[in-house]
Amino acid sequence: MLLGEETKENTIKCLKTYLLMNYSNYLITPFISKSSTALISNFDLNNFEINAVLSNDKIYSFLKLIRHDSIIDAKHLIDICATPMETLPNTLCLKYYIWSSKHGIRFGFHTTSSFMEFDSVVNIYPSAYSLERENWDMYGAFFRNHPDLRRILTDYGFEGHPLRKDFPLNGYTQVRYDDELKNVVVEPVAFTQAIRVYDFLNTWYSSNTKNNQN
Amino acid sequence: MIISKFSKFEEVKTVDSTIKNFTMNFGPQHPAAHGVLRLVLELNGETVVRADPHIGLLHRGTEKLIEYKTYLQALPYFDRLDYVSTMAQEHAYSLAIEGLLGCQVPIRAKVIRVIFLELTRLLNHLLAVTTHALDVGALTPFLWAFEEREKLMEFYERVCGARLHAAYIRPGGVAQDLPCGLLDDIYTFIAQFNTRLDEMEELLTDNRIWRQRLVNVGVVSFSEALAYGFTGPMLRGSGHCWDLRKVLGYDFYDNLEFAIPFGLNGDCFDRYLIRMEEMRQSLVIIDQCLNKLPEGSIKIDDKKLIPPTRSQLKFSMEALIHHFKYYSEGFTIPSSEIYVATEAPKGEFGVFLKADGTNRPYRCRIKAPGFLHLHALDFMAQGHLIADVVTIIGTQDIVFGEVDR
Repeated sequence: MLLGEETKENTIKCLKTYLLMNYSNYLITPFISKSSTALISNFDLNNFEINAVLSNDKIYSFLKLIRHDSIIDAKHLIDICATPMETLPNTLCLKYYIWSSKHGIRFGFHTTSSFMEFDSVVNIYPSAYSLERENWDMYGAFFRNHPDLRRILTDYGFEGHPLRKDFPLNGYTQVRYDDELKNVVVEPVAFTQAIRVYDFLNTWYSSNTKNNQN
Repeated sequence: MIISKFSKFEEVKTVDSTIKNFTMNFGPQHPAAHGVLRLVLELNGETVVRADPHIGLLHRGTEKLIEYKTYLQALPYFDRLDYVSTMAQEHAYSLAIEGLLGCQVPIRAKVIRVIFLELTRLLNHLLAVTTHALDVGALTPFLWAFEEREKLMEFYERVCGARLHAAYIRPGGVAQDLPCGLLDDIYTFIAQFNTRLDEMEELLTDNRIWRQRLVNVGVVSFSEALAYGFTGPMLRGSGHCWDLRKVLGYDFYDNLEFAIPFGLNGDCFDRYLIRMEEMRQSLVIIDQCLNKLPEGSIKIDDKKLIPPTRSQLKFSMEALIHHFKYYSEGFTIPSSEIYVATEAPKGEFGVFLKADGTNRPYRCRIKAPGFLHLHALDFMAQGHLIADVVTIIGTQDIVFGEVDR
C-alpha cells in the first residue's frame, strides 16, 4: 500500500483531470489548493487530499455518481464536518471526507447553504445516518429525506442547537433532581461565578462588553 | 446462532390480538454496555430485530468548550476523549496544529511519539480484548491484561507525570525529554510481553466456548464495511488491508517495517485475532524505534510555538516574556483549515481544525471511530441473539468518551 511520493502526485493529477473532464458541471471551485503550510513531518498533505467546492443542489447527484465511479472509487465516507462561516452568520459549510481505497487519496467535498438545508446522502453512504443526525442536533442543519432525523447527543427535551455561534457556552437551562418533587426539574442557568473570558486581541478595554461576552 | 439475517419480522395478527415485537432497554447502567449506552432493542423472542443506540449520556460539550480555549488549553480535552488510548488523540490534534503552521517536528520527537503511540496501542488492545472477553464470560485474561496495563501506565507516568491523561504529545514535539533508564525498562517490558500475550491467547484462541461465541457473529462484508464507515480493526477484519500508518506514513512510520494483519471472514473472531496480532506488531515497531532513536531536541526551534525551558526562563528576559505570552495568550494560527486523520488503536481518529487568525480555534470537529461503529450495531446485530449483541459491542471497541465527546 505504501506508494512513493511521485506516484501519489501523479495519481492526484490524474484524478483531478478526470474529475475536471467528467464532473466539471458539478464543481463550483475545482480544487482548492492547500497552502504550503499543509506540511506535516515529511509528507505533504497536498499529496493525499483533493478538495473541491460544490453547489448545494448538486451534491447529492454528484456523490451518487462519484460513489459508483470505478475509477475514482470513493466508497468510504468517513466524516461530514459542519462549520459555520465566519463572515456570514447563518450559513453552514458542510465538508464530506471520502477515502478512495484504490488510490489512498482522500476527497474533501465542500458545500455551503445559507438556509442550513441539505440533501441527505444516507441512500448513497449509510454511514451518513449518524453523522447527519449529529449535525442536525448540533447545528440545526436539516437533511431532506433523512429517514430518522432526531437528536443524538443532547438530552431528551433539549431545545436549541448547541454548537451554533449564538448559543452561549453555559446554555440556557440546567437540570437538577428535586427531592420534594422526586423528579428532574429544568431551570434557567444560574452560576455563582460567571465564566471568565480573556480577550487577548483587545487589550486596552474590558472584555465584558456585550459583543464579547459569551 | 444466526436465524435469518434478512427476514422481516412484522406484526402478526392472531384472532383477537396483535403480537408486537418486545422492546427492551439494554440500559445505561449495565456491566456489559461498555460505559453509558442506552440500547433499545426490539426483539422477536430472543432475536434482535432492531437495535437503536441512544448515546449522549456522556456528552460533555467538548467541541464547544474547545472553541473557548486557546490551542494549548484545548489539548487536554483530547486526552479525555478516548480515555483508554490517550496519546493517540493528542497526536492527531498536534498533527493538525503542526499542519496548519507548517512545522517540521525533529526526528527524536517523532520517534518518541511513535514509541508512545505503540505503547498506547498496547494499552488499548489489552483493555479492548480482555473486557470483551469479560463480557463474553472469560474472567481471567482481564486481570492479567490489567497488570500489564499497570506496567505501561508506569511508563506514562515516568515520562510525563500522569498515568492516564498525559498531555505529553504537544504541537511542536513532545512535552519533555525521556528520563534516564526509561528505554531500558521499555525494552525489558517488550521482551517479556510476547509471553504474556501467549498466555492470554492460550486461554482464548483455541477455546471452544470462545470460538462458538465469536465465530460467525457480527459478520461484515468488505463493501458493507466501507459503506458503514468502518475503520481500523473493524475494517481490516473484513478483508480491506487499510492502515493509515502505511497509507499516510506520518511521523516516522514510513521508516519502519511492520506488518498489517487483516481478516477474511469479517466476524468477531477475526477482529480479535487482528487485535492480538497488532499487539505483537506494536512490539516489533517499538523494538525498531528503540534502536533508531537519535539524539537531538524534542521540540521544534520556533520560540513562539514552544515554551522556553525553566533554566532559560530564569536568566533571559525574552524567555520570560515568551513564557508569559505562551501560557496566557498562546500562539495564533492564521486563517486556514485542515483535516488530519491518524490510525488510533480503535480506527481512524480525525480532527478537523479551522483557525481564524486568533489564539483560539474557530471550529474543532472530532471524528471518533467508535461513533460510526456503534451506529452500525443495528445492521450488525440483525437476527442475532441478545448475547451476541454483547459480543458485537465488545468487538466494536466502544469507549463512550469518544462516541459522545
